[in-house]
Amino acid sequence: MVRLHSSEGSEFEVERSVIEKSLLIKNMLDDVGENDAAIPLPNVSGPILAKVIEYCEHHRNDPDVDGQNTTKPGTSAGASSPSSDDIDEWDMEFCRVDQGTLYEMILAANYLDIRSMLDLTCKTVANMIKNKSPEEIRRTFNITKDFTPEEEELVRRENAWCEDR
Amino acid sequence: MGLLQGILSPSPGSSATADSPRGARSNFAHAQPRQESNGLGIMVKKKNLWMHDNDSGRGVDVLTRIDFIEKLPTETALYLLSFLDETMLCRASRASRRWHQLATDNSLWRHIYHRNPYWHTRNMPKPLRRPLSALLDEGSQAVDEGNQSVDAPLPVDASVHYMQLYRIRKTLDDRWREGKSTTQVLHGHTDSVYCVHSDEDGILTGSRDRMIRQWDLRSRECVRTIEAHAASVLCLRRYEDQLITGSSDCTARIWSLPTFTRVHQLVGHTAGVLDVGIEDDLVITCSKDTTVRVWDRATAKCKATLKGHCGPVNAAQIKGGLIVSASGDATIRVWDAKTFGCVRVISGHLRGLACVRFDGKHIVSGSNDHTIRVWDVQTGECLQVLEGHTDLVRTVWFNEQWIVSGSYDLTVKVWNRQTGHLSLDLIHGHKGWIFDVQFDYSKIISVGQDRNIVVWNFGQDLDLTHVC
Repeated sequence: MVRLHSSEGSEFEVERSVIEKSLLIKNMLDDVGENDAAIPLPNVSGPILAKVIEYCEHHRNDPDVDGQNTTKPGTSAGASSPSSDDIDEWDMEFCRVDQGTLYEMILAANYLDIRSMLDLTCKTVANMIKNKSPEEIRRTFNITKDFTPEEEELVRRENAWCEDR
Repeated sequence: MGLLQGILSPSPGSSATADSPRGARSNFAHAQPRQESNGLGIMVKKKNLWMHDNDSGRGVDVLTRIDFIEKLPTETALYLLSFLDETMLCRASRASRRWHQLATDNSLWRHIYHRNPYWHTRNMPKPLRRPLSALLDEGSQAVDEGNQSVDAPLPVDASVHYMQLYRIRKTLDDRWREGKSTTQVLHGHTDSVYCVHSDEDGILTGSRDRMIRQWDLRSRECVRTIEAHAASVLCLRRYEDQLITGSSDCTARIWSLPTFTRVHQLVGHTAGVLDVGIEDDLVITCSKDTTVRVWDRATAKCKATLKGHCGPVNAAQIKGGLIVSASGDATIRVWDAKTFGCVRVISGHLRGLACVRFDGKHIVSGSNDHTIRVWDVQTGECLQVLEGHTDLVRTVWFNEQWIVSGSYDLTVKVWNRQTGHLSLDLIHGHKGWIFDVQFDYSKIISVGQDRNIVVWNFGQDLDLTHVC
């Protein structure tokens, strides 16, 4: 078992094989060898660490392949957005959290170097952006429109080519 | 709605209400009863709080709202954006200044560009790492050796605008799909045009009038005429600085470019030379006399005569140490270019073959049975049968994305390489049999019995300096 300390000092115990989905922790363990010392994770809060462990537990038997963010040859060219529609039910449910939590989960997946969880959380946000107008995007993420009217018009024209399709 | 507004928009006076489209906001407010939004901690999960309407982003709780792109580290924000397609990136770039900055990021668009396996770049500027004097010594050779892979750790050159490249390449792709080409006909030959070769340096054509003509790529003017053979020029291929031609005068000739100086004459076939191929130090020729011959490129000595076909060998190609030949006897033969042994006989076409192309892995052949077939060279298995032509398929050319064919039915057809489906039917180019086609990312060139050289150009008015 590996002991982890969250930012506020809460302790979590988790099987080494499970938490080694995190390349950061795997490398750490490979370097220092297994011992009793808890690993401090000052960048990850307890609730988020719990989510990370939940994720790693569920995906413990997944084949260890990096989610390649590329279109496979043979898929129709041009329709080249990497699929963010391939999220399974468990993962979808796992990401049913408020935006603040999702944000923390992205940071944690990035910091702990868990590629598949980073992909999942980023895809979840990407799905929230999809099929929305700029205005709807602003509303979804509470973005303040800081363009001057001139800039807004410029940006609109700059991107008109995409909207024509 | 007023009560809810305070919770949804933490900064009072933010423009959330002001720039809402009419009507959208009120629907949204009704979806979220007031009492449910109070006192929730970050990890609280209650099913009845998830919204599933389009506004909330597929069931993600809406109680906190985070500007992910603003708050995430730049690298992570860019990674997140890389899961969007180009249309959504364009829209995202209109959300705010920060979103614009990241959604139009050059490295992001480089990634998006290279996500398409068929899209390549060329003539890319080299990263400026050497002193200026070294660059100046090189003169105008600011051309890179190959395609820059997406993972290459090279800095993105600011002088190449990848969003712009994307737009150009996408337009080109759309035009291929929709068949939006302009056509130009090059006139000059006084009889049937049998063969064409096209590359960065221009277009070369061979004709029954015994001439080779060279055409300028930009002006599309004939810039040179060479009396090449004593009879029809049936085939030609360029390789590096040499050109090989084959003729119904039973010979093949090797020419040095760009001067068109005759270097060698390959004598041995007892009937017309129907196709030629060249790779490294080997030249191959195939003939109506049913044989394929292999020649030493430097000495012009015949190294081997490959016998086996029992009909004229109409087409042949050498690639990666294998020779592939297609015959009027309805078979394809695969030969080892080192031992000269026949390693495979591929049959399946119902009538004689007129043409064959080979990329090292797959063979594409056209036949008098009106079909095109795609084969696996290792197994001899027929992978696809493309049906649509109504007469002999005289010529094929292919890349990873398309197969282009020309037929005695007077049409040029473009097929999707992956699906095998007919994509374009170019029916108004020729008034006679089509003898040869070639294409690249921006154009198809077809030649035929009507003496016409037709250039189907998909790149009209596009800056193709960096895309291919």
